[in-house]
Amino acid sequence: MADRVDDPSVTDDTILWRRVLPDWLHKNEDGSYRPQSIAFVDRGSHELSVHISHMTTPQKALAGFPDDSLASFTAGFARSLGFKVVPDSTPVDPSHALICPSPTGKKAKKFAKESTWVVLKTAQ
Amino acid sequence: MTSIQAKSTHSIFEPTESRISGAWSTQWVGVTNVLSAESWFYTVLDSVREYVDLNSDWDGYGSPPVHQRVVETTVSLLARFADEAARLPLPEIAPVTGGGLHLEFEVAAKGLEIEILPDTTIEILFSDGEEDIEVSGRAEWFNVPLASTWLLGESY
Repeated sequence: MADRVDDPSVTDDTILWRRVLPDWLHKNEDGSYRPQSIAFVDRGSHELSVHISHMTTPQKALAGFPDDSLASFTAGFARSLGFKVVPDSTPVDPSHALICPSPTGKKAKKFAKESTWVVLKTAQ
Repeated sequence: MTSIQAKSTHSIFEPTESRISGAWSTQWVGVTNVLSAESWFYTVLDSVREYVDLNSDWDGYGSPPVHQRVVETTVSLLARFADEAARLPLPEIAPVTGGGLHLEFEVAAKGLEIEILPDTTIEILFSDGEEDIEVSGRAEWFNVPLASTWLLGESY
């Protein structure tokens, strides 16, 4: 994993989006859904891919993933838990950014609790 | 947090044996609620099977498939939970980016999350609505009866 540096140009109030697979949805007793904590875990790259919301649209962020959902949180929230926020634009996705390192355990659960839905796709 | 906090991680991770280790033996059949345990176990096995043959990049984040050793560790762990099947809800099972699997049990306000990592160690998160406690260790040493008892709010 590269040694990343937090980029303050992504301000604390910047809204970040994380794509959430259907398998990572948890249905609450009241019928609502929340992301599971593992929606915010990456044990492969050990960095969490997100989108900088003002640089994309929900349609673009979900292109090729019609069944997936989008959860949002702020860059400031990620930083409040000790994570770095690093823009990582690619030719395919200029909005791409990374949360470094990837959350795990109870910090991933905090992301799951804090996040709000931008797009929620359920099987129903 | 109740009994989990009161007990050290030594008791959460200590060598334990499943009554069904090795197989669904006739010896085990004699001591457990067979129908309930079998139904519970085969239902969760079906969930695990969904993730055995995932392709690379199954998540769109570049993940490798779920590792075979992770599947074996998960099934072994679930077999030990099946000892408690009559009292436990079915867990949610999902793959984790990087090649692991995740189990999540929920009973009222209590949650028990178990992530089986690609190297087959496990990370466990106990949540009671007020605080989260995480521990990690070897799957075969995870004290399933204690975790089940905590989840169900019973004394141990």
